[in-house]
Amino acid sequence: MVLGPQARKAALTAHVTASVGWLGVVILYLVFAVVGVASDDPDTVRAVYVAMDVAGPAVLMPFAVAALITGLVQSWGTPWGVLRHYWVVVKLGITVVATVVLIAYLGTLDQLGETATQPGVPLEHLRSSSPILHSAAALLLLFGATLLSVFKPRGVTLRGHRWRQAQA
Amino acid sequence: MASTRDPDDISTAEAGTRRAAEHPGMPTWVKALIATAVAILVVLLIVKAASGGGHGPSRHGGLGDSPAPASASTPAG
Repeated sequence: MVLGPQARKAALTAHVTASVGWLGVVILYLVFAVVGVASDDPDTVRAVYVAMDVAGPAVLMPFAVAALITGLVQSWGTPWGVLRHYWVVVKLGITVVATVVLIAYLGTLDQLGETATQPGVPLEHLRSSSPILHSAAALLLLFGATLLSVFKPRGVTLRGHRWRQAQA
Repeated sequence: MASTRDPDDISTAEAGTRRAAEHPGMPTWVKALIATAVAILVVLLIVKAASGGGHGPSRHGGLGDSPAPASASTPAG
């Protein structure tokens, strides 16, 4: 299946929008996570953990799933293919791993958000470096995916090689 | 047009065709990436095994896994 020029532009626009949105929200999470550990204001600390809990399933996950789906559409609908070029395969792997880890991590965010809403819990029991580590790792992965998209390093898979020969 | 081609060009083209028929193999950058990913995975597995296999905010040095009892009288902050 190869998309026409208009559909291809629409798919690319959707993919870039979803990916940029995902990256932006992850940067925001990193800022929230650092504020959660560093801020002296109890209300601010509680607020950022509640915000991360709320935005996880409402904003972060939709962007991640949208980036994954639009990326697959973009690959299927263009001669790049899903499994023909190593950079596409690696980028797909990064997106799948990041999405799966994110979905698994929503439980931890929920736990932190729940704890933050309990007024009797001292801040020492609430502060966690876990969101910093996860956000920073996600940022690295997404930046790597962005680099792959821009530079598109050479290398076709065996499947892509056979496809090229069949096309010749 | 074809008659004007140099014989060397033709042999080069044939050699190129032969090379094109063979898969060049996995690029170095992919091998390096896989090695890095495996190394990170091994480190993560070791950390997980060392921490008892649990997963939660407390694993990374936070205390979010152990909320104080609801009756705690310690004021927030």
